[in-house]
Amino acid sequence: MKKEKEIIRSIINGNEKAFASLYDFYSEKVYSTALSYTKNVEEAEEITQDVFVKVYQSAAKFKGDSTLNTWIYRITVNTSLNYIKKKNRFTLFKAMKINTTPIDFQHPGVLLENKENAAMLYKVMDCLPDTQKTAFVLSYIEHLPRQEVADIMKTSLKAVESLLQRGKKKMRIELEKSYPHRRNFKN
Amino acid sequence: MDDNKEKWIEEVFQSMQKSQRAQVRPELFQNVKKEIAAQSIKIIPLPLLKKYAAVAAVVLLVNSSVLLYYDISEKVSREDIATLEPYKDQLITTYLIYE
Repeated sequence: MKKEKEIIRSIINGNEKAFASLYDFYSEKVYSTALSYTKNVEEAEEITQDVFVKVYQSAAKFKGDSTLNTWIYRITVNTSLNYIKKKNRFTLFKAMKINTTPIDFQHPGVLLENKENAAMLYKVMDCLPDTQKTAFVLSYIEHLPRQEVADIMKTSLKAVESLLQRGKKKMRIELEKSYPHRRNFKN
Repeated sequence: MDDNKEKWIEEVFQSMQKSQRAQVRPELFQNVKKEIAAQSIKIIPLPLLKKYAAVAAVVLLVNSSVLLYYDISEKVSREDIATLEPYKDQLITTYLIYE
């Protein structure tokens, strides 16, 4: 925590090296999270850029109540959700919205044998409301501990467990509908 | 069949296990720096703006007060002189008692 405060203090004082090293450490986490929300590389990059600009401008506001990791993830989640809301607001027709979202999103970091299932996972995640999606993304895609997810979402551990349970239930229903139509690579 | 379905559903939920994080383009950091530089020109923090406004107001007030005081002082001096003028001759003439 002391080291984190030193980094933040350096950034406030305009130390570019400190900011660069913060970027190096967190950029993949931020980008990966944003990608899970947008399923689009360009949009995820835009969000990543916005997040780090916000981190730089808000460095003085970081009081150390949470860890730097929690704080940055929180900014990332909020920026991603706001981006999607803004994008949906300016879509003239629902049909246009459907066409811009890829049908099968292929996450670049997924193991080859899991690609098909991962694409299905991202597809059914769209049926979740923001809170359930956030809990799922942070737990199952970012692999964060449940308590950290609770800290990021500013809620309790119990609430996160409940969100995950309800989210998985909803996704399960969608997956059951898709089961007969899945492409089975394994026999 | 149900077991296979359950197994498949669990596999879907676990499909992101052991996945690697997506790589960011290295050029993105340059874009971040450019955006910060561009925004630091545009943004004037409101508290700072308020301070500048307060200082300007104080300077104006002080200057106005000084000018007003100077103007009043000038008027008073002229009025004093005008008031004393008739008494100047009278004071001089009353001293000649043995004329």
